[in-house]
Amino acid sequence: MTTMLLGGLWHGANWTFVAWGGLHGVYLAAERVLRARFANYRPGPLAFVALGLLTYTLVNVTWVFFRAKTFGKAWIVLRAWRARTMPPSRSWQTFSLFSVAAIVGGILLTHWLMRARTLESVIARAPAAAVSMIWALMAFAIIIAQGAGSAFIYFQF
Amino acid sequence: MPSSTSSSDGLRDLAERDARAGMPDRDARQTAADRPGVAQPVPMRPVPAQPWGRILLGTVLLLVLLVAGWEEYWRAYGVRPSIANTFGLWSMQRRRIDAGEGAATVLLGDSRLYFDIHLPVWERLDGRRPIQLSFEGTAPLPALEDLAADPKFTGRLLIGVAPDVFFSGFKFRAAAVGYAHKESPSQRIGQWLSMHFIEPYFAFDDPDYALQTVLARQPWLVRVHQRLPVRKLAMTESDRNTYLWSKLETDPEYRTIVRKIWLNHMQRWDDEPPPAVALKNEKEQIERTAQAVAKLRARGVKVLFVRMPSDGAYLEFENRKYPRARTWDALLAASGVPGIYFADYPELQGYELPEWSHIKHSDAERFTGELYKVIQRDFWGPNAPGVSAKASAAR
Repeated sequence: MTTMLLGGLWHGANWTFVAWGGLHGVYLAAERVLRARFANYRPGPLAFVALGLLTYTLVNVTWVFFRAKTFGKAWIVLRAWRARTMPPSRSWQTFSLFSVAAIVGGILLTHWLMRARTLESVIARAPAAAVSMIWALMAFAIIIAQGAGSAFIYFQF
Repeated sequence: MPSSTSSSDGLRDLAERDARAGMPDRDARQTAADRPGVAQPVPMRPVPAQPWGRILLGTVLLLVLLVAGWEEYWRAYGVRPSIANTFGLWSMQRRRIDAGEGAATVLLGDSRLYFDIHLPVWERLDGRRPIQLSFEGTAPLPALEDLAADPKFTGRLLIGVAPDVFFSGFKFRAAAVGYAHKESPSQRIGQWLSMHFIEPYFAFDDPDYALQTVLARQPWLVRVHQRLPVRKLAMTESDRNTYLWSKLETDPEYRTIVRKIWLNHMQRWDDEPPPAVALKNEKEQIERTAQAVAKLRARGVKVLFVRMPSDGAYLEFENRKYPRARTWDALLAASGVPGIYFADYPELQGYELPEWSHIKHSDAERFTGELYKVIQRDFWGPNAPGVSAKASAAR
């Protein structure tokens, strides 16, 4: 718990970061308790997906505190999750929803496909031309996305 | 496990090859949890056997082709390289004041003062190049208060007044002021590298053509009615000399797009304050401007307001929503400094404004010369009449 609280503080001098770390600590502690209590439990496929989504949702709650500058702003975001409290000017357009779905979906798919193998083993089996093409496409995407700032984040401390 | 037979075969082949080569199992994914009580070993990440030289060559060739194609696509659309209009570029100009050019003429306003005044023309007439600190869609007040608090600035100040931006206190890019004071060495280096090695050569390197921006403006289903994002309007040079992009003159379709964006912005939006609050805000903008101007004048800075030309539906909207008597006249009265209202001067009228808000490039060069002459004749020149007398005469 101490590690997580300090880990939170390491990311920034603000209580919101401590909340981020604290929540992670609470989750890990709860996991230990539940693991000891239900040592023989093996989830079925449905429960497996449901538990994964629950974990994902809980972790997303922590990130609200990581990103928000104040607790007040964090509550605004958390409240907006359960009702459309945002005015139209603050709401997301179709493209934003689509791009988030595509990125999150892509990450999930990659983790699913890669869950039992290493990147090295996949590359070892891939045709050389495919590796070239994927590398070039990734570099191209980075270049044309442009990015807002060129400075490396850890220079900013 | 949904993994296919062939993939399992592949894994086995690989494992056997690794075992022959005396290498650990490549596919093993172990964590500390698999070895309770045993320290985490340094992970082994063997490089897979692949023709890496050929792969790298292929990657570079393909990447060059892709980037060249993307660049060609945007050049065919009419885009040419332009220096990016960043906070870093603004900061470079802001620093000139503290680095010995405190007596310079500073141009501080919104996009109209930014696009419509041509630094080379001004320099030819005046002998000195002004410092351009305007930012599009941004009221000058934050930067004005910053200049007022900087004793090193003792020169002349031309303040642009575009009614909807100035009197609403719209702060699209006002964060530049804070950025300029806190800019880190890595940000400065990044700015320098980008403006010397990337921006002068690549047309596609403009925020309006970033992948996300291009994708977002495709005809998606409209979920909520929102302000349309502003498209690329101008070309910028390394000392922020900026002018309206020629596409606004030559491409009627693009001109229509930009006019539609302005019409869209003129609607009433849910995030705008109610009229009573807006009026109070207007008064506050005027009061704070007057205070900052008083501070500047106290140390000898010559201040002059200028209401740059607008046209068509934009001018109608401004006259309706920000009537001159309530806004411009109140501003001059409160601050006690003179101003140039384009409609009062025949020489500042009759220019072509393709999208109603900014003067086209060639006309803006002529406009700069005319504006400079008016300023010298009536306000700043050695033979200018008493400034306060002209201030009342001009209205």
